[in-house]
Amino acid sequence: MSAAAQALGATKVYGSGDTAVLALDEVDVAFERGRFTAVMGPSGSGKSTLMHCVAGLDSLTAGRVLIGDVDLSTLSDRDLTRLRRDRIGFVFQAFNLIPTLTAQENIVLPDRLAGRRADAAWVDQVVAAVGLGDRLRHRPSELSGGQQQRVAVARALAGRPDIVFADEPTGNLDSRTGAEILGFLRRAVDDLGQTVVMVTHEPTAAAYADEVVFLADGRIVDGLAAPTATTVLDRMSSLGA
Amino acid sequence: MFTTLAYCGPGPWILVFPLFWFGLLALFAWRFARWGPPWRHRFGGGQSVLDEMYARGEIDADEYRRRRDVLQETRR
Repeated sequence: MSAAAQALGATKVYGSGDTAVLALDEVDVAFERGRFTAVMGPSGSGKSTLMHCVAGLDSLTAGRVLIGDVDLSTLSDRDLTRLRRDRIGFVFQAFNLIPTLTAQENIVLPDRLAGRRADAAWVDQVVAAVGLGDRLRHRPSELSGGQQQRVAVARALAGRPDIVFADEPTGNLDSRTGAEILGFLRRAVDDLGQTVVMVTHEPTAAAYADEVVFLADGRIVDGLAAPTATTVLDRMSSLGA
Repeated sequence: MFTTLAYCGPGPWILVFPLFWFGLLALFAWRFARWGPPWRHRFGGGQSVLDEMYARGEIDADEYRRRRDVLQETRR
């Protein structure tokens, strides 16, 4: 099975000289197609940096990132923007919805700005999957946090990306709505054939994934297949995280 | 005496104006297809990239405003 995204010898240094911080230290990781992968680690372990670099939002100091078989370092800014638009979806902790637009408009705006027509049947399927049917005409301020994050998940999936990156998607939600969102991400993988990479520090969230990758001090230190909250917690404590 | 009998239709110059307008329209159509609608280029390419990033949720509203201000300042 080919990887949807992979990092090869990924190294990221912030700053220079004495104040330089090594955020990623020659990380090799592959995210397989049709899988749900969680990236875990203590704060400062480089997990968000890894996600941003693999998603093309930030550039590496050394090493390579491949989306499919495209090396991101070979792309111009313009091509990189286009690749993110066509092949990558994002879900963030803070939802990042546009307050003046309705849920529906938020979901289809990326396609419209890209000068494309959204695939209506697919968008309907996505909206149904996240259970937003009757809330589509509401603005974000009229929606609960959980509903806003559902809109963000639907927006990420609407463009039929190759891979969806979620950065602490449940960080602003209570555990029940958080579980709903994780259920949708799980369903996006199982029912819609999507690929999801999620950064999280919650073992219960990681338990929704097919596998967990553990980061510490900018390195991959461990991995776990078919995780449960308990096995993730055990592994975290043995890593001293 | 004035007569129109000798008149045997317009010369080829009659085509100049239609061709001119056709060419102009074709140019607009090509530009539109190539770069998208011109009203998206109010502030140049940087602005549309920024709009798309905001629309996809890659940056939040504060980040969007901050970067937009920088873009507009450098343009002034």
